[in-house]
Amino acid sequence: MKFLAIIGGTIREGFARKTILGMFIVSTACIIIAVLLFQLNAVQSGLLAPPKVQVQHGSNVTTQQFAGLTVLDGVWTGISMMLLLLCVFVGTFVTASFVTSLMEKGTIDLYLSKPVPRWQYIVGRYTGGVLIISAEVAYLIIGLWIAAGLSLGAWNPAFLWSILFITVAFAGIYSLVTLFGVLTRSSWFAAIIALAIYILGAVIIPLGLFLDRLLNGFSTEGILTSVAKGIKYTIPSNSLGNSLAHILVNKPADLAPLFITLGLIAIYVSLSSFAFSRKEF
Amino acid sequence: MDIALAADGISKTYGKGSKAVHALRDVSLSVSSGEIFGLLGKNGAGKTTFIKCVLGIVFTQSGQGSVLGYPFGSVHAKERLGYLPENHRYPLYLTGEQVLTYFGKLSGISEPKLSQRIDETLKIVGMAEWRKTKVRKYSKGMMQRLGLAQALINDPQLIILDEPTDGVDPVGRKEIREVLLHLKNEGKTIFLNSHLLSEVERISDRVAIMDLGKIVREGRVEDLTKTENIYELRVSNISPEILSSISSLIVRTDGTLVEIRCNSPEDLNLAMDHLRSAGGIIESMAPKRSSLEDVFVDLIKTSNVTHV
Ligand SMILES: Nc1ncnc2c1ncn2[C@@H]1O[C@H](COP(=O)(O)OP(=O)(O)OP(=O)(O)O)[C@@H](O)[C@H]1O
Ligand SMILES: [Mg+2]
Repeated sequence: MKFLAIIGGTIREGFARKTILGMFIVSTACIIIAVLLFQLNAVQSGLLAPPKVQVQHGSNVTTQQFAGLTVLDGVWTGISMMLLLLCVFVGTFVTASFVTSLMEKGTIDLYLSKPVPRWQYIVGRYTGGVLIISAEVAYLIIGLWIAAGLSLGAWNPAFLWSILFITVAFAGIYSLVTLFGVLTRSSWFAAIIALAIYILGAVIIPLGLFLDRLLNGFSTEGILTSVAKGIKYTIPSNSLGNSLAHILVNKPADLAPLFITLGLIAIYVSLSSFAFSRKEF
Repeated sequence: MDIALAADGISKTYGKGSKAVHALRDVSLSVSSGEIFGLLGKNGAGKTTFIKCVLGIVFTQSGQGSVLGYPFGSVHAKERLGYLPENHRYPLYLTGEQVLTYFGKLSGISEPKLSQRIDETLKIVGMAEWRKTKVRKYSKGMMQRLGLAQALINDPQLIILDEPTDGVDPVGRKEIREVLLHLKNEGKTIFLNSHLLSEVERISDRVAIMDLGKIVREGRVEDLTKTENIYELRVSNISPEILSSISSLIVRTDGTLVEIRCNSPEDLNLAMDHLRSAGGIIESMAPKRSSLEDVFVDLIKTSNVTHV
């Protein structure tokens, strides 16, 4: 009951901001544009055709076809990847202040005088932020999916997996925002640090390899690469895009990144709650 | 009588090393159930810090504290207390009613009791007609009233108020004082922080005066304001000859006002006889009381607490 009130308060705070409403308006516009595009004959036939890739072997060029797939599946993959990045980057900035606004002077004293254990505020705010972004993602993706289904008759259920993966990708980075938000009380700083860590996750292995080669001339993996691999497991939302892309083109997908991110979320949200419960205001 | 709030040797220091601020130093006090207790002190004395310790918003370094039978900061105690913080802020996009609904739910009250309490508290603080207005449009005094309603939402046994009349006009202050006295009559305990001494003097049963984090005086308001053996007389037809008849007793004179020190009722009567026989006409006589403000200023001036 009290916990639900915290989540409800967070969502309400979100809707009091223009940014969240703005995101819904932009999503609606995207769905409408998609519906209009799907009406065009050229678009319809183009999207439903099987994708062809020209492969060059020496001087002779062959055309490779993908059985059971359409261009639309490729388009879904592209849209999903774009949305994933967009959600992580834009979503983080839009929701970063939920954690820090809780701790504003004059507000925090009120909250802490209520019979609510401190951790519930952090978990509630975190959940509220994730719910807002997941609703946003679900709205856009289901909207596009229904538009394509009705206009083109193409109902690829794999596209709906994007909702889960994109939400988890956001939630992973948001757990870092929450932690740094509690520690520094600055939403901008927390968002920037969390996103820097996200970017680091994408480049850390190549970086390790590069440094190994630069310093030791190893042609294979050295100690720095191993360190990089270790660090990678502490960074949430890593490789989720890859797994999702595989699902979307009917390839066997590695679900480990999903579970690793969920585990890291549990760890970082717990650490945030712990830090918050020790904090003085 | 049971104790609603007790502190025993509470100390709290902010920061470390050369920047350390000793906000509370060995503070001990106790508040009985059903009384209005005022914690007084100038800006920065440590009043708010003390409340924050009670509520677990900051943590004490040493000492023991209990509130409604639980340790300081306990969630169980918070179920039965209400708090009006200084400089409180509410989400500006909510209406007064929505603020109370939100914080009421956080206090653990659910419908239909919540709606009923919202109606009651808004009426108590005189904000019923503003309930549908966004907090953004509230004046400072209205904000303070809403804060008070928020503090009362869970029908608390102990009400902790930090500068409750801050920003409120004289009429509003009087209304708030009446609300507090009404709550006391209902058996509630009230702990309030203030530097508005005349206000505290009017409603508090007991006060503690704090300076630089230390309690320098604690007691009943009557006891603190009583001055030993000094009486105020209004005498007309006054002249130097008349006064010389009792010159050894005079503490101070000011126009028709004569203050004398008498160690017994007999001395007092004797002095009045002298005055009358010398031609003075006594219009009134009363034991002198100093205001809490005088006591406070004297105490702070003479308090030997120094910065460490
Ligand atoms: N978070 C903090 N960090 C460091 N010092 C603090 C902090 N909060 C309060 N102080 C210091 O502790 C001392 C006591 O402050 P406190 O707010 O308790 O005073 P107060 O009696 O409530 O004053 P006022 O009447 O102005 O409200 C002051 O010297 C203040 O500067
Ligand atoms: Mg204060």
